[in-house]
Amino acid sequence: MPRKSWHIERRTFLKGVGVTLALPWLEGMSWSNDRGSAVTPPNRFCAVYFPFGIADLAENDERAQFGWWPLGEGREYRFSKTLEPLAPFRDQITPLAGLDHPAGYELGGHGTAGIFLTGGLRNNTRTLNRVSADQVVAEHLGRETRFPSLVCSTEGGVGALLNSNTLSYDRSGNPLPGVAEPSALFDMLFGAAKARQTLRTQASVLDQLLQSTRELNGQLGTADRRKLDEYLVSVRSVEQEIGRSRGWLDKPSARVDAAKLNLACNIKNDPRAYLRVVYDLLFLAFQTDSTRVATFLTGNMRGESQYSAAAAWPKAVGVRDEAHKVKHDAGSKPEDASKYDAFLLEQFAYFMNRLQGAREGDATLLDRTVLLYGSSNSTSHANTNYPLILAGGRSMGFKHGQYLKFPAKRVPMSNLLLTAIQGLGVRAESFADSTGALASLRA
Amino acid sequence: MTRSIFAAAIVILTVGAPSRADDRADYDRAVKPLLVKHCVACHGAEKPKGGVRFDGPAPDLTDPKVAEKWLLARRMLAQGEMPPEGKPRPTADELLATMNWIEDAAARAAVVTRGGVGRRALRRLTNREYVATLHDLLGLSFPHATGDLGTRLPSDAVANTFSNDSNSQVTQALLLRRSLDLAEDLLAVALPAEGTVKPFRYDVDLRSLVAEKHRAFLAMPDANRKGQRGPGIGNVVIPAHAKGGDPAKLGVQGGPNSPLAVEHLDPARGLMLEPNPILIGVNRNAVTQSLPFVPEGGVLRVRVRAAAVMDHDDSAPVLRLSFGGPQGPGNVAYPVAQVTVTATETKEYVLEVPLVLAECDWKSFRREKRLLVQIDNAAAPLAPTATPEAYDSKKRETYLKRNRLLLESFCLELDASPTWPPKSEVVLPAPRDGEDDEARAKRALRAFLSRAFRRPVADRELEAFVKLYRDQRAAGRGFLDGYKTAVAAALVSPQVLYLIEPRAAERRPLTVWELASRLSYLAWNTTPDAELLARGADGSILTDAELTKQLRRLLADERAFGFTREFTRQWLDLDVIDHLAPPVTRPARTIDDTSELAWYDKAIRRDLAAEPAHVLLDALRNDRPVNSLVAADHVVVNDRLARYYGVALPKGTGWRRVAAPENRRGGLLTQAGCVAAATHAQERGEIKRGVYLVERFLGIDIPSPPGNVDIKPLDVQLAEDKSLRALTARQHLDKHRTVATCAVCHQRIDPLGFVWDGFDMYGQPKRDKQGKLVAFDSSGTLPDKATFANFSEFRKLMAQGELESRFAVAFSQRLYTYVLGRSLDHGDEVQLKTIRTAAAKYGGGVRALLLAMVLSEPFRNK
Repeated sequence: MPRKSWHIERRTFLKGVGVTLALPWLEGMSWSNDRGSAVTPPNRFCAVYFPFGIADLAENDERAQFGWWPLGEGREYRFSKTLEPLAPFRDQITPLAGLDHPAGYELGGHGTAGIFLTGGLRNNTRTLNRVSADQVVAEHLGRETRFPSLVCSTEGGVGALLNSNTLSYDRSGNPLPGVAEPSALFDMLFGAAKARQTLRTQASVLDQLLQSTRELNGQLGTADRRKLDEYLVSVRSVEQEIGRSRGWLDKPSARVDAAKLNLACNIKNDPRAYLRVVYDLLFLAFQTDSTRVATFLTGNMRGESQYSAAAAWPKAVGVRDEAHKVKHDAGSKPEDASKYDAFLLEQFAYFMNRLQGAREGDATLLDRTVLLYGSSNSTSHANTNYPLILAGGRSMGFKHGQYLKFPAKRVPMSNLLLTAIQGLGVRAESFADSTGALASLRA
Repeated sequence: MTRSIFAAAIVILTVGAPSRADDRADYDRAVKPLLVKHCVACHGAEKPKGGVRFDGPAPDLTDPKVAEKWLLARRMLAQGEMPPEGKPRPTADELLATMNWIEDAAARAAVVTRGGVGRRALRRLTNREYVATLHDLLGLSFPHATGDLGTRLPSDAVANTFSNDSNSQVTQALLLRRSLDLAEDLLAVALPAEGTVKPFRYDVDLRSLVAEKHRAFLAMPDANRKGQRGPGIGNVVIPAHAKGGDPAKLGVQGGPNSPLAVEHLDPARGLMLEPNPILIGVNRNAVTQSLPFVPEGGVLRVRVRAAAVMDHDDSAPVLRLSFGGPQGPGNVAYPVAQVTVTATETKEYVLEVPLVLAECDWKSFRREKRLLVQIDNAAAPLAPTATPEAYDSKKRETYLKRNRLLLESFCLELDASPTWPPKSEVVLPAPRDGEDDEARAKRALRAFLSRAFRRPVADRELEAFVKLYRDQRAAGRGFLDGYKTAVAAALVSPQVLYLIEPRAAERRPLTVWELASRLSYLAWNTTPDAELLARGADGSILTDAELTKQLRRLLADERAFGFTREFTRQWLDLDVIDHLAPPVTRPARTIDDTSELAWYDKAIRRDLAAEPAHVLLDALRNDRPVNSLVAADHVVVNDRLARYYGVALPKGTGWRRVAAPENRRGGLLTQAGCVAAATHAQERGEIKRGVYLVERFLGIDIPSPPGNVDIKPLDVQLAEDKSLRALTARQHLDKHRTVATCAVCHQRIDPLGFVWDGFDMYGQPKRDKQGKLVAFDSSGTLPDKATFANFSEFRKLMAQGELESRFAVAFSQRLYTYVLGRSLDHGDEVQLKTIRTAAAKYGGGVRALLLAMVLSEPFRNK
């Protein structure tokens, strides 16, 4: 990976890079104020997952403020210390309690990351997953963008089904590999020198094919020619796809300003820099309409730091233990868990802030984006009562400002996923084991 | 589909030459009475409802609007939407006759619109054919690599027909995109760019390691050593060979967190590896070498001196090579190559894997900057269990007594390109004296394109690719890059991707090259070899004698398995076996058991799906009677299937032919794989089985059930409606046929539903919970009303009548569809009749049948 040349102070990047980097796309496909009236800006979806659960304290516990859950209920709720970073977004978020995936009850305590967005494994064979909510959305929103969806993961790749390194699973239940390195994400999204040469070569190849096919066409009968037309159409369509990628690559500004990204930050030792650069890239991907769907797994369920890039993150931000242990001990030392979760939420709030800062027509990018944040554990290893936060999407009719508590084990989380899917404009009657959308979330 | 075409053809054959008059007579006889009785009252001359009339003469369905109207009518009749509720219903026989007529008329009309009978549209290579073609053209061969590169291309499965059916094939942008990527990846292996690969080599002699590490331990008296484990062989640093590389660590795992037990160490012979069922988590028995870097490309070659230690009557050890990331719980090792070890004396086995083609978690490897190369024994058990009583929990050993793999030494080597064939001469010949770059590129391209296009390349064509090379050079790229670009373009060009047969106004014989290609893709699933092209060049392939000789030669080659596998896989829907619920239902008793069972399960599925291909190959090579495919006194099985069927198999390896036990004398009809594919793992699979037999063994296509019918499998019905449980299975099925629209098809399906009553869903004799064989009743009725009282009568009905037997007729239709690479037209029935007569004259064998097809006019003409 060409890391060195990208390395520049984070602060510089944060100030300027967003807009300039986005330029090549914005020229052609802008939803900014002056042109916005002609086109409706698209809807976006992003889901973020964190492992190992939370400090699951009852409201009457004297340390309740160090727990995850908000205090009180409905519109009158108060933020716990953990959720404090989200306080500025009170009217943009809905904390939810009581939801979970019934299909996850029987899986191991470390086994549910893979079903966070799918609702459960297929037929319980434990060999195949079901399609994840983001991919359902991507089938609908991903057709017009260069990438149907982005799959980000601190761990990269797919991991094992019951120890997933990715949140995204396709229609057949196969995992979609996550990308871990910011540099790889950047290369993928905004191109790199090697890809440029490949694309250029492939374009010449296709050009040649178009020519020789035309000649061939003259020799064939009608039925054969129809078949060959299919081929020609395919060649043209691939050519266009490549042309689009190349068109972007050839914009000089992308090269210059990309150098300001802190793409070489250390995943294991500098979680703040890492999370922010990934959130920055996600923001840019949305803003440039490179994709409309993204998932981000911030740590897998492998406890030890040799197997998980995010295992030692708490240590890096002043908490004594590794993430696994922090959450295990959350009952006796909720302060640590609270501090670490608040740290993760701070970075998420940073993402929300960026989205809110970008206007699109008469709304902000945050209003155009449905965000889901959460985990598939409550108290460490309990696959029930997921800590979840739904945010953004006001342009799609999402209503926030209250703390929704559902009775334990009654309402599947799939109902929440269904609500998001429908809100994003996908015609879906159900998702996984859903029993209906959550009416209280949307107008 | 085919059924209707044949129904039409049969009518034509019996009535005489097809003509409009016959068509009309047929219409008057089969369709008109129903229309008059049920439709014309509303859809007549006076105030026709919906503006639709059915009181006219026989319609002409070549008019698309007319066709649309009649096909809609057919659908509404089938679904019971018409006649409307409250009106009298037509009988099943009336319905069937009318619906068949409409379907046949539509099919004939479609042929007219397609531009003539018996012609196939441009046929594209299937995914498997394309992958094989790329390998052959680039001179690559990785016989032991386990990945299926075809899965990189979007699936080309076509419903209800073969994937080589040109009339149903679709080409999409994604296919082209992925084909180009795949071609470039393979090209990078065949012609690696200089200096991109850093070669390395490690040599490990396990004998000296054992001797050194265990000297003290092995010196102890036997009595003291008994039951103890030796010290671990972990973290031995292996120095790099002079060729290159950094020192790497060797590890030997003997079990969860424990070193290898001493009985596996032998300083004189090496290391014994028990089969290792675990690919996730901590390895039990494996030798691993951790490379402190991840190579960017090249071909990894592992040379192993190994032998099989056949102490037990179980499967031979399998030497498996896997790539993995860091060791630990949850770690996954990705198998990339394997070979069965049968030699009992140590012998060298060579596994080659191009890294770019290995599907594994490269992202993680790169992040860890470590590649773990693992060698273990992948022999899956021959049977799901020995006696559980034999399991001794104290010994912490699996109770299955398994054969071990002896590892004496190995050599790990990375090179830019594979050793076979020598250099990359086939793709790019060495430069000649005084030849400039362009002349060399031109010479190389001429040779390559002629092989790739399967015919001599024309100068104009060649010039286009030379220009591509020239343009690349002009753009500042090197010789190799420019040449590779031209070759990549050729590999995804229509001339390679399609079997191109330019068309003249009149029907014409195939050229020598076209015929060679058709023959090669039929019998080998890949591009013609040099010999076949030579027979094209001298023109001899056009003669019957040479065509016959060539077909025999191709069938004798191992590539012919590609043909029988593809054909049987699709004809008998064998892919489904891999997706069914597990065949072994016995609960696992131990942790070892869990993984062993899953392992066995995977292996037996593969075997079940492969058996028909081996049977057909055996029948082809030995020219066994066509009917022996459904009535045979032998089976072709491997060791695992022999256990599954309970037959004794003489010592040996691979697939062998032995006498069949009493309950397996129906050829394909008593193969567990067919029963499993037919049953779909449904407890009550009678209907599925009936459909399978009707469609695949009797050649009658059954339309899908109408869309407004809530189809629930029989076992779901039983779960929902308890009253159904009072019925016997046969009574339950009979309920279907009380509704006329259902009866149309189910009167043909259901009476065959109990043919396999004696088999469970995985084709084993059906037993009750106590393990006792249960009584069964296989009786039933064929669609042509012939009845049978048991399986052997059914088999006899299927197989009697030489090449005109029910099975032979149906089989020849399916095979001919595959051979021609297109759906059959009604003219083909006449051909098939001639083919079967000719084949009967040659002796009535399967090869004779295939030969007659290859010699037939439709195969040799465009």
